[in-house]
Amino acid sequence: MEIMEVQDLCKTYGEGEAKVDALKHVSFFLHKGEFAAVVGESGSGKSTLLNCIGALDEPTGGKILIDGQNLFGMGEEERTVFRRRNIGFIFQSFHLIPELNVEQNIIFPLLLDYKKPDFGQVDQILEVLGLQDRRRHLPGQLSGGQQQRVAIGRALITKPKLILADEPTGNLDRKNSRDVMALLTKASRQYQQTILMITHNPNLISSVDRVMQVSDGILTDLGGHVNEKLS
Amino acid sequence: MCVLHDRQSRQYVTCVIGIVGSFVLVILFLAWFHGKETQSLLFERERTMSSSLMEQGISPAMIASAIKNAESTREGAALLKKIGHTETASVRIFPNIYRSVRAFAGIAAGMAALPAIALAVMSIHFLWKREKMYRQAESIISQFSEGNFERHLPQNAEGSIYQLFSAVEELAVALRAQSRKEQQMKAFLKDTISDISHQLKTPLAALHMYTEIIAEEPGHKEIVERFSEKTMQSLERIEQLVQALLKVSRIDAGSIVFHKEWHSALALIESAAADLSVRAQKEGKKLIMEGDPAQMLLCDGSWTREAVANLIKNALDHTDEGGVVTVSWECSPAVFRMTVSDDGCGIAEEDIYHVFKRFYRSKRDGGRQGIGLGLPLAKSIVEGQDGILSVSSTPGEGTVFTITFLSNL
Repeated sequence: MEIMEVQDLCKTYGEGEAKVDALKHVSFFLHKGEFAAVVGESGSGKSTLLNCIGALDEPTGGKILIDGQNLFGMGEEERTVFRRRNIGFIFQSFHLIPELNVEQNIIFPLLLDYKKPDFGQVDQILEVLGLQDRRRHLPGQLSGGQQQRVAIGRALITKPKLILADEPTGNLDRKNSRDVMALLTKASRQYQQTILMITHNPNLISSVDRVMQVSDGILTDLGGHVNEKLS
Repeated sequence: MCVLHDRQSRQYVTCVIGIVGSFVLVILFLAWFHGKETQSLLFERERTMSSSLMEQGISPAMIASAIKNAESTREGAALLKKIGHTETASVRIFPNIYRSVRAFAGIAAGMAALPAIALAVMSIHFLWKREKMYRQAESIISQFSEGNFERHLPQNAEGSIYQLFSAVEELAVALRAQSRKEQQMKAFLKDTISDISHQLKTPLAALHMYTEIIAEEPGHKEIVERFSEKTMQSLERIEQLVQALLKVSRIDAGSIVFHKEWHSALALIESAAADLSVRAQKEGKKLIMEGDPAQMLLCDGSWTREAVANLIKNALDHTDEGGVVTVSWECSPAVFRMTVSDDGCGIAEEDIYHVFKRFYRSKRDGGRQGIGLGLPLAKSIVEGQDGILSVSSTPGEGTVFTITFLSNL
């Protein structure tokens, strides 16, 4: 079942001589429960792609359909609500709220949507992430790996249709990176969660379902379960 | 207040407050108007009385003190009662009062009617808009039950009704996914049955042939012996095949329950490697185990042992003499990880995607004996226990299989 479709996406920055075509006619789709990775060198357009899909940036052309709804066919306010309810984000620099503890950071997106958190579900997520005995700690009292795990919990709690992860292991060491990847894979399988991840670390992609490469704004699908040495 | 999240409700409540506010203003105005009217009636009365008294020659001073008098006596009240000017008299007898009352009533009704009408119109408008939305939702939900998901329920706004619609749509999608899953199960069963019959065809045909040959030459001792042995081999192969196939199918169908208990990782791996270490020695290959001997793992012992054994066997199958197969394990706060790595021929790029598919034999395997179910079975066992089995390989250098379980510490 397709959860996301990108049709002919184009993004151009600047004009005239300073014009940069960050994305050129990108088209692909993601199925529900798929864990896909987008690889590419810096400047290839991967972050632009993620930002457009996450409705954080507006494309110059093309369509993005999430669960059949045209993201840029809606008004700004509708898109904000849609993004809040359907897309989860994991950033390279975690972006946790320093004044809230682990549990509060995780349930924060629910509170933003005026929803009552189901504490049974929160307990389960804390257990899966291995953070039960840290639930009242502040982000400043956690290691990098633990903070990223909190960020993952925060992305999972609303059960969004799509999770976008921008270099989730960029600030972590190798061991923590592998742990985070395992958690993301487990979330993808257990909760049938669709995840789109950007990375430039080829060692991480052995457990993803699908790999796509962006190079100079053009996207190529490298298929599934591929172990290529990427330069 | 959660009622105010919904924009339509918020607009409605704001308008109601506005209308009620204007109503209050209307009443304040009417109170002031009433005061003015009363004042005007009173002064009119005093004017007419003064005029009459002056005409009759009463001194102005007496009239003024009469007007200023604020106390009423019994005699005074009795006088008024005698001429019929009491509260019980109908208002109509006093034409100017009556006129004033009618004017007041007219203005009051007119001014109060406006907010009242506005309130009624607004309420009906609000309810009608909601009604329209409910009807629209109903038609979209009926389309969902017919499997048509083209239109979506309105969900992208604040308010509980939109969250309700969102939940309904999720429910519809979940139901649809479930029906798809059922269809997939049917297809899966069909494939399994077809796999079984396909795989059995060849050894059964061979058996048939051998038995025919034996039947034709029952006296020929050498032929009987030779083909009896071949028959035995075929039967063994069929038995292995059927058992392996049933195992994989049962696990994939979810009909196997894994009983998780705490096992020593080292003991588990040692028992998995027990038979294979003999073979390794015979073939001149090394089998190494690395990891914390005290490490415990929560899993189904016998099934996991089988999965690990399959991986080790696969590693031995693909290494040459003098090769090394290493089984190592480590535990971090979030995961328990076990790897089976070898320095053998590796897996080619075009094969690696298919390596966990049933009966997949790479062209490079070169006629090796084996059913092609070892890896799929290992994957099913690991995934059935909520673990992950992944592979990475460099052709010519070696392969690493990784089993990952989330720690439940």
